[in-house]
Amino acid sequence: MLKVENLTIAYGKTEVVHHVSFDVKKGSVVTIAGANGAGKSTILNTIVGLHRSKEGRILYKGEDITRTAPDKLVSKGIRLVPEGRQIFAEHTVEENMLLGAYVEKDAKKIRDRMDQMYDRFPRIKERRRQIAGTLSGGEQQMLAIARALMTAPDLLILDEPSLGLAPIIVKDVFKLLTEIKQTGVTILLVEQMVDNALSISDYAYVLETGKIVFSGTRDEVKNSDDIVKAYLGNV
Amino acid sequence: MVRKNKPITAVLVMVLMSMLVLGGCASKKAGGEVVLGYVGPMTGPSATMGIATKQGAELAIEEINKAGGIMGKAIKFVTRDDEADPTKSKTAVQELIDKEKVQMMIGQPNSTCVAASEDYVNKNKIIQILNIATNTQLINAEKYPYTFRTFFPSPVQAEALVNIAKKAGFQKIVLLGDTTALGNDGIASLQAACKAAGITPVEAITYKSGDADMTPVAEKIKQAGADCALAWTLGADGAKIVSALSRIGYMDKLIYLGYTGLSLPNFRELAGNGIDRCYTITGFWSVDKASGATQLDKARQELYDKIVAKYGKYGPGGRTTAPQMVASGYEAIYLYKWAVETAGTFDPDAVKKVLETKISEFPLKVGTADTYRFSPTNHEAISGKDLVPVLLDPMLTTDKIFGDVYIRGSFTK
Amino acid sequence: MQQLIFGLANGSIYALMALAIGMVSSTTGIVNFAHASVVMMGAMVSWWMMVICGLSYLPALFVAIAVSIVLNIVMYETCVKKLGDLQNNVGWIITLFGASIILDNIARMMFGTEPQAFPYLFGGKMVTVFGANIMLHELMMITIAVVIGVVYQTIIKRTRFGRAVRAVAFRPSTSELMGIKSEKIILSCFAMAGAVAAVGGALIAPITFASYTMTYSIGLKGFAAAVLGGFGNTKGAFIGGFILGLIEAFICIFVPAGIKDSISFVIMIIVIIFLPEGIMSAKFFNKNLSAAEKV
Repeated sequence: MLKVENLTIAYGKTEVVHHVSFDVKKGSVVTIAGANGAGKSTILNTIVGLHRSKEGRILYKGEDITRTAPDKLVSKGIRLVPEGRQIFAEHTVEENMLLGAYVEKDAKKIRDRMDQMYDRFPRIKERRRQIAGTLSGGEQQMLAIARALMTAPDLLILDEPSLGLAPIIVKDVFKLLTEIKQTGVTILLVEQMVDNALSISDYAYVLETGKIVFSGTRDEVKNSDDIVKAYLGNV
Repeated sequence: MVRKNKPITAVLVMVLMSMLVLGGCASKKAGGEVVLGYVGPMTGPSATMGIATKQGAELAIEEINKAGGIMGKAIKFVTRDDEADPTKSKTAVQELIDKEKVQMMIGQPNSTCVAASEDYVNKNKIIQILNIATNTQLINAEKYPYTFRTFFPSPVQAEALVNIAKKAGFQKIVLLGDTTALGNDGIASLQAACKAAGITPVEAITYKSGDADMTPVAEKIKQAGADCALAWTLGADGAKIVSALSRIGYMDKLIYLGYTGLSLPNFRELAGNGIDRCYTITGFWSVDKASGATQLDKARQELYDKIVAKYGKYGPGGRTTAPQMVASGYEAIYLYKWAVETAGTFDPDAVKKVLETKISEFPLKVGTADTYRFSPTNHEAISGKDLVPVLLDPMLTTDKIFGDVYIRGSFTK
Repeated sequence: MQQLIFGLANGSIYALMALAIGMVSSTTGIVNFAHASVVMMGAMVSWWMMVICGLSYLPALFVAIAVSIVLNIVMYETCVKKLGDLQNNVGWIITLFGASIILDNIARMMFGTEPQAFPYLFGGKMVTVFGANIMLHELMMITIAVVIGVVYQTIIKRTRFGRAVRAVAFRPSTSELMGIKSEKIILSCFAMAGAVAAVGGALIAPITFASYTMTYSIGLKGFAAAVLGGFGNTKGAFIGGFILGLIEAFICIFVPAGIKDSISFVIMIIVIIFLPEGIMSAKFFNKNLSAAEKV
């Protein structure tokens, strides 16, 4: 589904990601773990076209998308749920959903999709007339995910979906992601604290100061003492 | 060999001799030149004034050079565009004095530009004639001994405006002026003139020049119940005020008498219907139609014809300048020529002395007034008595103010 | 009543300018210092079309609108876009001031230095209401401004485009993630601001006369109104314009016209001190949103 080859990214003259390669197979859930500042968000932003890479290639369904504009990628089925949710706080909840479907011009499709989302997220439906900034953190995260699902993406990328949320809500979020996975959506996750993420992942990469230092299946990661100590806390 | 060379030597000698003669001619010509200078706005908002002066001066210089120059010396005329910017103006004046070695200058039309360079001009003993700039401070026989003015400055205009209003019998006079130095100067001059004439104005109304909407000013005039507005307003502001007065229905209740800054080519179009109650003042470049005249006096009419012949009729594609201003530039050059020839020398102190003591003998009467009043203590040529009210609409040959010769107006309360 | 009309009429122009400045600053965070010059260009082009080319009012206005839109787009492409990150690169202060000076000079060269008479709508016809003389032109100024303001707010609140504008205004990078081309939205805002500028120019020109300096004094008022309303808040800017017009009209009764500007700016400074985010940040306008938290 998504193949990243030899990706190098720089901010000005400072290289922050060095020759990173990884693979996300169709229908799988892949986690990229790493400490704050390892370059995880930079990689995601580069994949979705917000940032330009210095070197390397990004392939999506076999097609080179290295320099493709964000709106094209949305149409191709790649959606990012950004770090910190970034919902449009001054828009209503429903407007956030509509913005999620911005590239879709067919009003009926939007309507249908919105109904589907409302079925899946009854809390969001309840609050659809509310200003999005008034939602709780968990609700905002749900809204951010629902908003991304408005275009029925094939690849859903999430940047630290558990950030700043109460543990019980984090559980809900990951339960939701499992459900989304079951509908056939491929998921790429980035997390600092990966215990929850790992539980739903098929494969994981560990990133340290812009380099991949470890990769393996869920079980391989769990069996690596170093990694567990460094990133997984008390599993 | 020697014989053979003789003709060549002869040719050489002839060539050398002719070179000497030509060289002599050339050097004689260089020594026989007097440099006169002018700095003024040739571009920008006040370009019409700047260009007018230049046109007049060039017209005069062409005539003078054709007739043998000043005391045998041909006039070289050097000009610079200062865009009415005092800084640029000062640099240009210094350049003309230091590099071009000018001996006389016509002063810049914009008072601020004159002020910026006047010290330097006088330090270098350059005779300077101000033909347009009006600021009072610019003329001071002690401080600026070489600067003379042939135009009417603020106090002279104020005196004329107040006297005209007094003679017409107005009771409720308001004074108008903007908040710039020009407006303050104007209002102060008007107040002084009122005091001198024993008149108490009802109110002095100020406004910001260039303000989008002058209706508040018109409202104030109406509240004051004025029957005459003595207006120290610039053309566009004045037109806006007149149009606002019409807008609130008060224009038919007063006479709007403005200083010379009020004239603007399309004042009539801008001011709208109230135009027939608007007047400004001027000198003898106006036609007294009421007493049957159809032309200026002889000398001025001749110059007017020359101006039209050389620079065309006023209007699009033709002349953009006012003949009165062209005439003042023309006259400034002749005034200097006369003073030098009367003094018999280019020495600035001698020329200055002639201007101060023998001005009544100056024969050319094409300027603002027929008699100039220079003296060792007074470098202002014009007095308030020399000015008359003129209609702001229409002009003699065009409906554009500024474009031509004014028609004298008369009104009573 | 008379003062009210004058205040509203002038206010309508400030409002249109503030609205256009707000359109641009809401999506880009920058202040278009050249806006007043575009207003002037709009007026000069309509004057030119009417007087020189002999078009009637509306076609002339449409040409002026087209020219102003093009001007604003060119300005965006040359003076804004090339600078990249506008938060860190404040070069736009220089480039836009520069653009304003260039436009003024172009206008001076093309249209001359003399102010020109500009026709009133309805030939300057007046009606008397409650003892006040009201020009139909003034009523039209107010009406057109209000219509433009309301239409703009409706577009912004109700349409897909409007949602996108607000999204870009709120956070451009997140908008990109939705598939919104921020740049295209910003460009549209510049274009709309250009169109509004031309309309404002044609409406105010009969009062200020058409000349390259016609917006020197009202330009500043437009910015003041935009600040009064809260930068980037188009609704506030619009209301700010009308309030400024009214303040001016009414203080004129009490103070000499020459110092009216100082007084209105004193009032504005006071408002800004107490409501730094503009009048729309006052509790009065935000009763229902008090719980809103920005993320």
